[in-house]
Amino acid sequence: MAVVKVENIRKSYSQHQVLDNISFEVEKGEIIAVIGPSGAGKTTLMRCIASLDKPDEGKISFNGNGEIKNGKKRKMGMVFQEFNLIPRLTVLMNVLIGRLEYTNKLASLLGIFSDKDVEIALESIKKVGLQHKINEKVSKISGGERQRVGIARALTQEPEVILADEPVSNLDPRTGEKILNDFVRICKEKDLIVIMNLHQIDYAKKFADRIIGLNKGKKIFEGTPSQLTEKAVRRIYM
Amino acid sequence: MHYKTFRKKEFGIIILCFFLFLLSSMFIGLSPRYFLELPKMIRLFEFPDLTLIPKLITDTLTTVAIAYSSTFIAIIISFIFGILSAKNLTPHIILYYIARTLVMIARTIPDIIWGLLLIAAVGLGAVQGVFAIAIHCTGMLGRFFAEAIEEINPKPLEALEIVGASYSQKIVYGVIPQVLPAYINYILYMFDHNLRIAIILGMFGIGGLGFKFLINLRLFKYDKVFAILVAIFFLLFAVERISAYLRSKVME
Repeated sequence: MAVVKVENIRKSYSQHQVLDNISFEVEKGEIIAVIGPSGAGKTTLMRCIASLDKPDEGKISFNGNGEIKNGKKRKMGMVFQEFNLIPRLTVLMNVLIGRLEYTNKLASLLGIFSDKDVEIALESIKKVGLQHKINEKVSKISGGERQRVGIARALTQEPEVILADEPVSNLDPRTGEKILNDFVRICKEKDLIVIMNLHQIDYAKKFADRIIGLNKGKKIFEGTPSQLTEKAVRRIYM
Repeated sequence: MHYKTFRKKEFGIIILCFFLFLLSSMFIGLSPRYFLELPKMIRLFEFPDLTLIPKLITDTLTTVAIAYSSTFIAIIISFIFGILSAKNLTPHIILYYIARTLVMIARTIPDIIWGLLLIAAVGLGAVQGVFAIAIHCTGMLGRFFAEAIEEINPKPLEALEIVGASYSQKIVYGVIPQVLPAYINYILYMFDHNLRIAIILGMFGIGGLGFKFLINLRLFKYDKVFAILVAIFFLLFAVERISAYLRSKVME
């Protein structure tokens, strides 16, 4: 039973075909890594799944219920390459943003959240190991810690799917690997679907259950890390 | 080998500026002779009658109250107009054009002219001063606010989109934290400006320090005129210091 189903997605920007007939399915608890050279369409694919962009053709469904849209409650969180946090707000406030759809709208405009929402946020902060920094402004913490806040914000949505668009390519390799490791471990514990774009092939092999390789908008490869041979890598990065 | 650092075009522009200055001077009859007459102002000087200062408290408060309430009203209206007339945030393109046009009209007509128009229409009074300044200030702040919103980093708004935040939640969590320092900067600048305009409009009869200044000037009571100037100086100086302090706090 597929939980996320991407069917024949096409997308082009001014004559330039960015995604060309992409299809794949993801099951509960699976970790998917999407790899490919710059300009292969990885980010556009991610934005289409997140419904930040609309595909020209094709369908993305979730639990079999049509498109994942704005409006009904979202079961999809996202972790961004540039973290996309609000620097002037504290760690806790940034994480609480994950509750905005669930909380009382009027109260949230005054910065008031229910005890339950705060509890969920604190739980996520604890999961990413930032409990000692809840009241620090995001502008005062390190890059690695910022991405931890980004992960905590996504977890606070209590999602079933987390998308990650090059989550560690703005971090130094050591911090990046540690954070990716924690991220995947937490998602495994919660049995979440993860679809992430990765720049580094070795991370994809180490952390993903399945790897999808894109080149010039086309799906070139789909298989397990062990199936990703030297030859397959060369074809993807051709 | 020769390197050209300044080009002909740049020299041309400087020469053009001088030429325009000469032309304007001739047009209004400016000549060096007048510079020699400037020291005549010193002859006006009489030692300020400092006993007047305590009696100026009510007038000072009137001036400050006019500037404060007009800035306050302008902030509230501009906050809404800023959102409507920012391209990236406006709820509808028609609202964008309406808001932008209104703000433009409010801004293009100077505050003193708004004041004279209101006085002509409604008569003398501090309230006319408040509205005149508030209208022009809305024109200025409305534009500043819209520009600040248009310059925000759009990335955090994408994150808010993903979590399913509503329009007003996006404003409160994604926009306001980003524009707040710029807003406060503009507000402090406009308060300072409005205080000066409140003094000038005072001379046209809306009351306050400006009014006292003009009466004494007409009566040739220069000791009192200079006492009022001392009061104006300290008022504006104090406001400038407080603004600088608040700015440094905001930038932290």
